[in-house]
Amino acid sequence: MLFNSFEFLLFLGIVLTISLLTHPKNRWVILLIASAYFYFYAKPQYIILLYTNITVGYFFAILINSYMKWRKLYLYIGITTNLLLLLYYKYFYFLIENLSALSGYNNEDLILDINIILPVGISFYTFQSISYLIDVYTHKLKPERHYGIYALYISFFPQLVAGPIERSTNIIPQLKKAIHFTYENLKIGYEKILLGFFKKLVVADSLSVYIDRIYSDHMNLDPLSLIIGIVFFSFQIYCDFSGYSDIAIGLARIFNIKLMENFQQPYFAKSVTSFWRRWHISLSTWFKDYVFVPLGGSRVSNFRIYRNILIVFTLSGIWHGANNTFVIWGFIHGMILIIEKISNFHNLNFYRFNWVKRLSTFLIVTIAWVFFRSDSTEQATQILSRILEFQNYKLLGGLNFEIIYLSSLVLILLTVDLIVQKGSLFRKQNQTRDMILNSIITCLIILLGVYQKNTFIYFQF
Amino acid sequence: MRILQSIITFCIVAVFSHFLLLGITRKSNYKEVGVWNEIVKGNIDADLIFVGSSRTSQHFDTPQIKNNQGINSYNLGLDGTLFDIHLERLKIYLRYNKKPQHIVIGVDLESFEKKTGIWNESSFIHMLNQEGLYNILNDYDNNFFYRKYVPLYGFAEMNKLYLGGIIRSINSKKSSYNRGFIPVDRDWENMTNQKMELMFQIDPYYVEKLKELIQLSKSSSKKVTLVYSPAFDTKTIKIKNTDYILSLYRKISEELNIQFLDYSHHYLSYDNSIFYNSQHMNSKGASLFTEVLMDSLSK
Repeated sequence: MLFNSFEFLLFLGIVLTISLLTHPKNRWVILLIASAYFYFYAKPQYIILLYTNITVGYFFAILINSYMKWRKLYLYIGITTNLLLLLYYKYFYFLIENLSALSGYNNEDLILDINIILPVGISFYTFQSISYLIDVYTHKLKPERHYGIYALYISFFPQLVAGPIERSTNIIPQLKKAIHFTYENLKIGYEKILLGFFKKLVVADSLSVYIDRIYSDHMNLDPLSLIIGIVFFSFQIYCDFSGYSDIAIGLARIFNIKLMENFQQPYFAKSVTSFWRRWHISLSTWFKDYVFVPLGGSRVSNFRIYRNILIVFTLSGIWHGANNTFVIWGFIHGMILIIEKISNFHNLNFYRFNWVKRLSTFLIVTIAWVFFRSDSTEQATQILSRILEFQNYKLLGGLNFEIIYLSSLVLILLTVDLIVQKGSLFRKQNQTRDMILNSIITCLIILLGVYQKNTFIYFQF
Repeated sequence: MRILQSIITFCIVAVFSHFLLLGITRKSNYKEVGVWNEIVKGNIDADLIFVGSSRTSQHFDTPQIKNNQGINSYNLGLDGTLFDIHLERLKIYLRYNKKPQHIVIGVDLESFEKKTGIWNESSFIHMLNQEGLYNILNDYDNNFFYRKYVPLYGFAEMNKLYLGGIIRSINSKKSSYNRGFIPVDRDWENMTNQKMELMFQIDPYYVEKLKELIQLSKSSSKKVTLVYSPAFDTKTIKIKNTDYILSLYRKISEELNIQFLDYSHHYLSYDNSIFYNSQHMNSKGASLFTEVLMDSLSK
């Protein structure tokens, strides 16, 4: 069920209505049933997989906490079970293809006649589950004995299919409290949802039409069109993903649950290192806490630090998708981070200006996105090499209103991000003003939104 | 209470926005929207008008007729429409503008076959107050009910570049389609080499509507002509009942005592450089055909 669908609106209305009629202490039950239905609606058979994951996490956390002698073994079994399910459903064909490429065997000899469909959200709830087991193991929290509360933590519908990847220490305590509806939460939640829909329906889905054309015909387009396309993709993926996160955060806020912020104006970052503190924060902190730090983090030799960075970012690339393009994308980011650590370019004279830092960071990230978006490494290298064909540059023929319109949307987005970064636009609270503004923004989103039922990009992960 | 206030505020803003956009659309001169607005404005001075579908709007070069023959003409051709909508469009035209001397009705081979849905529903948003037109459109697509009565629904559905075009063209003095004519500057596009045989259905409803259209045209002008403009024979796509459909047009013309000009075997039908697909001529073809037609009409 997509957030930008009439079915979801109806679903949300029903959940809110039933919740209002339920005692605050029991509203978590409504959310649990609603979350199960939400996932069931996508693909009924995968609810079994979700609840297998939930049950494994629930029982192994209790075992880790109960049996000191075997706790490490239970941790490994719990994590391995989660990872095996993820490997099977997400990486089976990827592994077969790479194995056959390495061994020289034909793919078809190795693949059995099975059709594996990627369950929506598996990457997200698997990581959430693993983080819970590790947190119990490291005594950050006690295992949750209430199966329903734990199940709701993993399956909470606003963030189930595309994050943020929430920590149990943040969510479980909130779920155990009575859920009260307040006007304040409703207002904040609604404004966050509005922001999310603006990013997704208005910006991301408008850009996607143009970008799909670019990537489907890249060999016949001039370099300038390709550049515009790849720059637009930087904003499409940002708006698509952060838009979803905003909607998820807004929805949770309506139910008095505070999820973590997942994006903090990443394209204003002054370095790629800083970019990763602002982009998909829940994933980058997950990798930092559960991969980078256990590998030694920054408390080891420089060589091992660089090795750890490369491992983390390559794994991050793999997490995003079962394709070599994602691996390369992650690897590029890892290499850039290492270069930033090694080199002293921040001290260069021309690099003292913030705008130079931001622009160069944006350019590096945009180039890396080409691999992320491309269907193959071949396509990515073709696009990047065509951009360097300086002899083929030509001015865009006449005024292109589509590009002007899309560029205006991007500028509005950057302005909104700037306002959010600086805090509220207004100093004084004014209920009437806020009501009118929210109504106008809602109408603009209704008017400018693209309603072709485009899924969110991160659903494929 | 505050939630109710928020909902009421939103409703007021939505209704206000809807009427604002409706007002803008009624002032715009963008493409099909602009043509409707010119019709309703009532300043069209035309002695010759053309009624039909996209083959009419793209084949009859009204600016050229003005330049070459000195005759004021107007093209009411509307893409993706059939005789019932042509009839309503003519009624609306006659309601607001002076009656012409001569009405030419462009016909196609598929004009009797019922279609589902409406092509470019956005171009009708501001015309849904015309009851006859609204009823017919709603029969094809009952979302027109929501487009008429739900604020912002029709505008939200619109292609954003189309909406942008409508807003941009408020200050234009005339429609971007000069006197309703839509020139198409495209070369021949060979869609398929696959052989196909088609058969267009004849729905009696559209036969009746054509007759009504002719009757209205006769009562509103001095001369009515039915015209089947050239179509290119690709040799791969065969319409099995072409002769039957053309004979039906001939029969109706004779029955109602009007002229029928059949250009299906005219030399223009064999030159694909003046077509961009098998049914539509490009601007070069339209120019040539318009000269041929005006020559025939003057005889």
